[in-house]
Amino acid sequence: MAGWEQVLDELVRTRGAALVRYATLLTGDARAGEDLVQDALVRCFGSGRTLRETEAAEAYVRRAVLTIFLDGHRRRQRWTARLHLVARDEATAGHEPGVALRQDVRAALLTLRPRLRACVVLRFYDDLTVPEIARRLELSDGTVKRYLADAIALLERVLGPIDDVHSMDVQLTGGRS
Amino acid sequence: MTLDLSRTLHAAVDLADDDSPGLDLGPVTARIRRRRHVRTGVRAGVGVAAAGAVALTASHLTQPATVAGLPAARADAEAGECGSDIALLDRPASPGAGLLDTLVEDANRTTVPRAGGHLGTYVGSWLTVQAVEDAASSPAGSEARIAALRARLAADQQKVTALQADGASADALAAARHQVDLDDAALTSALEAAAEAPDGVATNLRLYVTHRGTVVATDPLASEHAVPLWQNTDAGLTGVQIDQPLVTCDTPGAVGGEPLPAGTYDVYVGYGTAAADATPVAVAGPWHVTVAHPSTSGADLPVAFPRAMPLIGGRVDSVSPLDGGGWLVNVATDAADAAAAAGQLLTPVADASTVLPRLPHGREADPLEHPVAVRLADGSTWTVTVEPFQARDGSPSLVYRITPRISSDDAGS
Repeated sequence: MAGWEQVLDELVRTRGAALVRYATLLTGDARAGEDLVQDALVRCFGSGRTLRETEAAEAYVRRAVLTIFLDGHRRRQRWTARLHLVARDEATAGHEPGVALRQDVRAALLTLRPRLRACVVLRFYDDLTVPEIARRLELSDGTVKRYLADAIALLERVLGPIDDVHSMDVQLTGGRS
Repeated sequence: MTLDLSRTLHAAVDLADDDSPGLDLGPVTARIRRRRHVRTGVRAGVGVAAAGAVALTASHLTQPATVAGLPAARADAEAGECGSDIALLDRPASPGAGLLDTLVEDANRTTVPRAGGHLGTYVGSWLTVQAVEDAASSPAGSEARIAALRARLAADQQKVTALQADGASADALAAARHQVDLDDAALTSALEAAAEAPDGVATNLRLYVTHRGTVVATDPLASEHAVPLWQNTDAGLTGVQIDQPLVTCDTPGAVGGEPLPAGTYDVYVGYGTAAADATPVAVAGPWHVTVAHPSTSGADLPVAFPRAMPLIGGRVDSVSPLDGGGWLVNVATDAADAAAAAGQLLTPVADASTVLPRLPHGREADPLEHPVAVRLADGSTWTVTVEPFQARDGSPSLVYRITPRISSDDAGS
């Protein structure tokens, strides 16, 4: 087995499902998320570039997922897969958020426009700063701040108050609704 | 109770749900192998060229044109398939279809592409063209429109930022923000319309490289990475930038992927409206392209020069040592793809751990945009930059600046 196949095999075995769930945050549909990850894997591993470490490869693939999503290469979004918006269970301190809460958040993300969704995922999953998001999405810092503020306001309408987002490392404009 | 969004998103991705989808590795691996197969063929050719560069042979061209290195004509091949007769694609495209570089005005003063032109000499592994067609009939129209709307939105956002920085009046700022909102709405509307379009309505162009009428190079995957363009001309042309690997295609029983032998070829653009890999319904062309595999000749390289360094083929006009170590090398080349070919040559030896963060979106090493960290087989590490240069006699060349890297810790500096 070639070196790239070993890395690919390891990546898909250990992080494949997580990558699909990451892509699904963006697409809103698991099947479309899977398609998106497949395209990203082909782009990253088919380029001939040397990917030796699984961790680095995952970051590279995640970046490709976002790029392909935003570039609009994947048009087959399945909007029929909308989930119920409010089915929250208890999220007790010290425990990981429950399945229903995760589904609520995923469903709420679907109410956002794609670029707002991308900003939220980059900020709250990838833990990027506003300038980093702006560079990644080729937007101004101010636009990213506005998008995040709008997105948070929209999410809070569905999910209720969100912790700490108004005391982030950036001053969000617009505030909560 | 408040929601911890970051923690919940991390859980949503990193904790498995019962319904977590699996990822079928088989089809992915097959697609990757196919793509790498094409690129490996390219790289093998590059390796030969690089070896020639080190040998500094007196000859300028390594291989004469040889039909033996090309896919054979197949009478049973379907239209557009490798080895098929290009004449089988007998439906001409609309007058507005063709290559952007060849636009002319016709008798009706309409801008149209004109077939028959020479696209230049290519020494690298890719032929990059900008193919256009009538916007009204273009399946790429929505993609191009979205790209144009994105560009307009970005420009208007920058205006707002500039106004804020300049302390503009509230009215001016409000007007600029209103324009951004309008742009945003238009883009959102276009994206939603594109998302709801039926499958297969996407950029769907394909290049055919032929030799004596036989298709010898074509890539059904090329349209996957086509870049939408928006040509706001009077003719209303739209189109895409598309890359075609200059390697042989596959025929039954004969795996391709080999660099096209040096020589002159015809290039056609196929236009389709169905799925990306479907047979095109119309074709425009031909244009002509010359493929060359020059080795490096001219000045002697110093003994201390890193001989494994892959330089573009051509006449070495000068090699000068740099203060503090390293070399300045000037290679004369009139190749249309000189800069891209230089990047392609460096990509296989680029130090991935250093290059990856600098080159997002899967781009190849581009020494014109970024210094490229290079690690050679002997373990030596170098920083390479390349700049186009016009020699005194007007001939074009590339100037390589090659400096040693002190240690791997310095690779990212």
